[in-house]
Amino acid sequence: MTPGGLQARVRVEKGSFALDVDVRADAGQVVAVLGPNGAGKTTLLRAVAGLERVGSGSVVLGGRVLERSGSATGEPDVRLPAADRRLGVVFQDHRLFDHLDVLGNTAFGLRAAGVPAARAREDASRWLDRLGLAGLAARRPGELSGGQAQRVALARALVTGPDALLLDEPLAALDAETRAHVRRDLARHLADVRTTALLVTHDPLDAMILAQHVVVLEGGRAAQSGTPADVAARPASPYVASLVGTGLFSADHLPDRLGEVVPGTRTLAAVRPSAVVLRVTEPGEPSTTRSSGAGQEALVWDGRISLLEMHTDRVRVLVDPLPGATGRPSAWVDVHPADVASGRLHEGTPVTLTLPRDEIAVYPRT
Amino acid sequence: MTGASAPAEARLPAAVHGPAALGLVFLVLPLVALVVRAPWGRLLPLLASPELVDALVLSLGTATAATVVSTVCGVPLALVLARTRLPGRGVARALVTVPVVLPPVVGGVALLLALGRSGLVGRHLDVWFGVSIPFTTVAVVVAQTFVAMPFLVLAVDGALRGLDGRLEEAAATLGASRGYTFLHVTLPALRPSLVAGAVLCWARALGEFGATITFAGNFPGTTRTVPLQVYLALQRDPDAAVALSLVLLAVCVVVLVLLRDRWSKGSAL
Repeated sequence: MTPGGLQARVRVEKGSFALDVDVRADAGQVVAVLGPNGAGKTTLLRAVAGLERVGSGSVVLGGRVLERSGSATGEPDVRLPAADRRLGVVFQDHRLFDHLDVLGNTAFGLRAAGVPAARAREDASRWLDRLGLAGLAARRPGELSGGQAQRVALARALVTGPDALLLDEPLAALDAETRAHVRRDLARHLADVRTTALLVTHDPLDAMILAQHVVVLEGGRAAQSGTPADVAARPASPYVASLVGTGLFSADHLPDRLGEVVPGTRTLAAVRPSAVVLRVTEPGEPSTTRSSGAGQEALVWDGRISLLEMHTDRVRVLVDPLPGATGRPSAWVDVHPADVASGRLHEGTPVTLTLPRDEIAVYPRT
Repeated sequence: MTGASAPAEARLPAAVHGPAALGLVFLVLPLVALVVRAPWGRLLPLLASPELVDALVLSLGTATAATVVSTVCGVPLALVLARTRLPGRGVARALVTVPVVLPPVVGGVALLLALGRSGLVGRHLDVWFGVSIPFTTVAVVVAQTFVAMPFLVLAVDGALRGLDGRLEEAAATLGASRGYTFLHVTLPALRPSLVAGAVLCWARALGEFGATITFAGNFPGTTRTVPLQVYLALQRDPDAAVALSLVLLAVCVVVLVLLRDRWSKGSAL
């Protein structure tokens, strides 16, 4: 793979929707663009690929200008056709050619570039081997499972040795079990080929496992960017927090001094739902909400369950603070499904929450 | 791709079964009669008569020529209709379908007014080149093409719009030029619809009667195709008419079998 970073500054307007985002991937780095449906992720990827008209902006890959329009310094506009960008694209719906077998699909890019048939087939076979798909060479796309088709699409994109790889929700169309396997393989292959890659996904897990850098796209703009661990630990908005499954609240009104925060700045506190301990409040038990001062090991407060959300291996519970628990936040708490099945927990159950101080990440609001 | 799941059997009121059976019988009965009353014993000698052989050869040749012309012009037309944003595409698409619903005789009259010796264009063909189309074998092909080409255009246009350019995009990202993509992605993807459209077109051309007799006349050996021969024979030698009809029926059955897969998938026209 030719190493080379990708820099994209893309502005696209489509009716009332405007995408305006800056993304860069260093050479060999996998960058995930994470966001909900309609955030503009696919539009961004298509703009980089040359499949979508860019209003203004630039796309530079390893020093080559693929796209430039509306340059402030008056440089001439550039718009390389998709076929000349040397980018590999893996689409959500794999888009394999039904009339070619797996080998033919994989060799397509080489054949299109004028490589003789025998050599193209040889190279394609080698890639199929490398991706563990050798046994599928003679199959038609219609005879592949979703996971196999997506692996073949990856092989097809890699064979031509693209300067960068663009992955558009490559796992979204797969069922849950297949997704885990394809995700693991994809992680391995991305590490193996060390190509610069832009991955578009709505699944935070994809971003966490596959990418070294995450850009969260919200309403056409980058809401946050950083390493996956960073974004998960310090979500910048309620949306990002809900995306990564972290509880987030304003720390401004907590009566306790938390962390090292410069006085006067507005602060956020992030808490993993699994870090909060929940206990059913016994009838007649005195209020346990303590106005814990600095040095206190944990925050303790009373609340009432307002929502139960079933996950596969756990139940996520939203607890609203009791009126007496002044300044205490609503919090997501993970509990064991058995506790819910036993009937002890339901909407309205009074509970006491304990949150160890060192499980709270406090940071300034950006 | 997974196959479409079979729809759950609809719960229908019992009253629909009677009319449904009646409708089916009505459609099948004439064909059964044709087969039952066919002069099976004399079939070969009947079909071997020079008149009928001439008609068959003429029909097969002209229908094939009409299909070739329809393909050569119809596929590009379908491409323009489906893939460009030229203004008036919707109107053009509607105009293409007109010959499908137009009474063929009216088509024949219209062709005479356009290409006849004193027609809109035919006048100039006659004056400038000394060419006169009506009442020649060429006129048969013209009439058949006029009536049959829309079937091919609509089949290919529908398939193209279904393709949606997604495969072509994938090809472009793999570095394929437009020409390479057209030859190696678009055409192969269209092939099933193209074959279906061409077969339908051919079958329609083979059965053409109204436009042919109006525009090309009824001259043995040059414009008397099988349907015209059937019509004539019915008055002089009904057995010969039935024998020829059987041949056309056989052709239709073969076409249906060839297309069955496409229709059962619910695509094509």
